[in-house]
Amino acid sequence: MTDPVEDRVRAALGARAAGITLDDLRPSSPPTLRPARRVLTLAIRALVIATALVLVAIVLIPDRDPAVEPAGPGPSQDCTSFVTTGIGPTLGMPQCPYTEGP
Amino acid sequence: MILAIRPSWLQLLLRSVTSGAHASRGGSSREAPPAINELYHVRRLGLVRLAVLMVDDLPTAEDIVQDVFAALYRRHGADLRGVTDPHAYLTTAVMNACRSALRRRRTARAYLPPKPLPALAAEDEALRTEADPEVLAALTRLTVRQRQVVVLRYYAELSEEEIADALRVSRGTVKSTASRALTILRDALSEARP
Repeated sequence: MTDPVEDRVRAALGARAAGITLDDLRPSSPPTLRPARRVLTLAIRALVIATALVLVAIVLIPDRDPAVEPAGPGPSQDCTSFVTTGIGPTLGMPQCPYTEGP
Repeated sequence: MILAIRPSWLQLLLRSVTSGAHASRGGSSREAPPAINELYHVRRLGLVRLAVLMVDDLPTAEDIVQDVFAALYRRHGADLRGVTDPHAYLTTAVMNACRSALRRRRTARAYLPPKPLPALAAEDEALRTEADPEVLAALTRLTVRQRQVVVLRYYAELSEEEIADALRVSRGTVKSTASRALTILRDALSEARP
């Protein structure tokens, strides 16, 4: 002989549970996929940030005016006159960089 | 068009990233999925249903089940070596997690001013109506332990011994808890329909 309250509880719990189907659940995410998805998410985020930085750089950095010549090196002193002694550099005198070539 | 000319190395890279830790252990993609993933697909819905009957809230129930599987994977790996009965393990773990969630919820309610419950969606309301709202309301009068016993006994159809194992209590405790719970439910239902 079954208790009507027990039957009622059993039926209510069964009906409540049966009301939840796979369609109600979030997309499945098996445990072994979780770290990989995290890596993929991080990679995508990094890619988006890098793209945004490149775009910002392109927009903000002004184009060089091709009409203006870049400034050349400043006036340099002719150092040939300082090495005439052959002794070496003298204090207070500019040194010429050593350059190979003819 | 871009996808069509995607180089094969990029496909390989994407496959290696999305296939997860299992594939990186040297298994080919044609191997059977790891045991924990099979278990996840087989048991997920049932465990979510079980958790819903405990916490009465689908998002929380889904979180609980997901966390339980994540903990199982962290502790025992993908092949579940060392787990003698994964099904019993999952039932116990979900029940423990539900108990913790309900305790946290009750503690929060004790410290926060009562808020009106959010209106249920029409579908959820319909499901509850089919599921005998008087019984569901009566279930809220039970303690967490009583509710666990009732759910495992009348929904999961576990024996007293299995419930005792799942909840890590004695068989006598299960029997007395179930008896007390039924008395409370009987009183609540008789109040609802005098």
